[in-house]
Amino acid sequence: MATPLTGLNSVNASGMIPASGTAQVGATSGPWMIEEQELTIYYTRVPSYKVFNDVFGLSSVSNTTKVEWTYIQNRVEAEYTKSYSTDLYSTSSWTQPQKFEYHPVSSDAYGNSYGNTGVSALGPVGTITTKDKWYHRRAWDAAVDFQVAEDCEATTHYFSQLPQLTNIGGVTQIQVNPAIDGMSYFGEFGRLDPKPFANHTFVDGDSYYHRGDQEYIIFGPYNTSAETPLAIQTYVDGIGSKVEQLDMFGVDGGEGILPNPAQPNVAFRNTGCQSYDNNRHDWT
Amino acid sequence: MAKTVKTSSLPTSKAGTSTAPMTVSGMIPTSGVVTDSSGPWMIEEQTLTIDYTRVPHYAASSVTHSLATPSRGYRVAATILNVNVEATYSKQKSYDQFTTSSWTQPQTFIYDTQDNDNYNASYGDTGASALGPNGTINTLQKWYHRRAWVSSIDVEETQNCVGTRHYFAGFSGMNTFGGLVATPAEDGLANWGEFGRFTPKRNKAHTFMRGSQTEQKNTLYTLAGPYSTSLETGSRIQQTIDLIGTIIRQSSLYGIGPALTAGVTTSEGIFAQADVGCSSYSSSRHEWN
Repeated sequence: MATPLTGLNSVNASGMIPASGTAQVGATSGPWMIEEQELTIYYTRVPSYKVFNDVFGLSSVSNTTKVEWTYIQNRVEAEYTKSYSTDLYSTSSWTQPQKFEYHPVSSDAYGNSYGNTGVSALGPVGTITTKDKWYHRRAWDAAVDFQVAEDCEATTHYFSQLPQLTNIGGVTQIQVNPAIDGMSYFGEFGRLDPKPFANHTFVDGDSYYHRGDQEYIIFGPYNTSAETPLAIQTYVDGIGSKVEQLDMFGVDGGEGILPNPAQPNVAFRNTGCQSYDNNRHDWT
Repeated sequence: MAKTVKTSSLPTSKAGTSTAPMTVSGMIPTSGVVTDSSGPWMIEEQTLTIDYTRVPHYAASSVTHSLATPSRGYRVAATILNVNVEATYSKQKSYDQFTTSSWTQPQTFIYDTQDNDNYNASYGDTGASALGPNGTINTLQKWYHRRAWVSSIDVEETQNCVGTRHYFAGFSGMNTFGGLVATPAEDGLANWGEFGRFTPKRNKAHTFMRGSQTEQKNTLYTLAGPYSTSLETGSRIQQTIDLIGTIIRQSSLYGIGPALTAGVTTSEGIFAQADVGCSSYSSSRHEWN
């Protein structure tokens, strides 16, 4: 955000002492270093199933599917900028911490709901957006400052396929198809556990399945009452760290996924915004 | 509970035994006393023993995905017979003395049925019209045929064969760490009667398998839907035994142990080849009176 801020007198984030003021002609002149960051997370909670107790027969067969834990698959969009400004401001510096708001959806993609959602429960699907972006202004220091613009779109998981045997002209060969991005089968419950090569799997053996991180794990069958504000904050801060550490996988339309040349069905973590810092998040 | 059922009750008539008058369809035995019918004789015999177990073909019927209460339903699409077959055939030259100039005794069978499968479930009454989930089909009377030896066409021979109509296909692929995993095909006795090894196949959705899967050439005695002994009939059983006789003749059984012949390896698995049988065995010698 390069335009001068107004109406920030009411912002009072922990550890910050804002100085009030608006841009004014004749007020304190720059040049200014203006730093901004924001984060958006699109999330869907997915299950890790365990299937057990096969009861075999010639006239019937059954088994039991249990949710061992659930976790979040997410798509992350982050942005960080450091700009040079010569606008006029009424104060010599300004800091506004980053705040979030949640937009939970109460039903999952299969039509199930799991209780009330809100500040204490993200629910099965939704979006976390930056309500107030981080904003920090101080005098430009030519010795250390340079302009930066970073943005990233990524996931903390991707989809992989086991190496497949192919038979071409009577010759059997191992074919390793490259990993694909985490949006390809986003939120499909059958592509997690049991995995495609395991017994009780829900998908064929050549199906792509979730690999990578499992965010915000909650053990047992899911209910929104199992969530807490602290767990949500920890989750969002954790994503902030992954953004900063380039610890995410690219997605199509962004940087794209980067398969490991030596093992193409495994992806490299190469995406993020290294200047992002979740210490700028404010949870008060 | 094991049960024994005879499919017919013809008297035996081997050399040196009583040869009371009898009529076998298509045969006209000649009775008599010991005279100068001294041979040489061509004596042909055949036997068959079938151990069987009925196995299911499952399919998923419903899937309910949920973060809290998932479920999946299955149905029994069909059941089929896995068999372990042992057959013998011999043609011998004999100089024994017989009371008749020729003799033919058709082959008859007896069923030893069991009411329970390997998982201890039962499915109704078994007997001449229902083999049930497990059991053995034995030769009650072996095929026996004696006539004068004809040097221009007769050659002594002995054949015996042991095999199955199914086996367990191996698989090859790479694990998640990039290592090659390969397991060879296993013979049909390796996982005998394990219900999770047919369908859904190992590499398909909803499979019960991680290991080898059943491969079967022409599914024997298929019964659609959930199994009950009431679905079986005497004539289906007879047709099945006759079909197995034809399979034996065509050497279309899979070998057991070292006799299992390797087949092709494809993207679907490591397969075996059916090449075991007794070429002189004939199911036309079976008798179903």
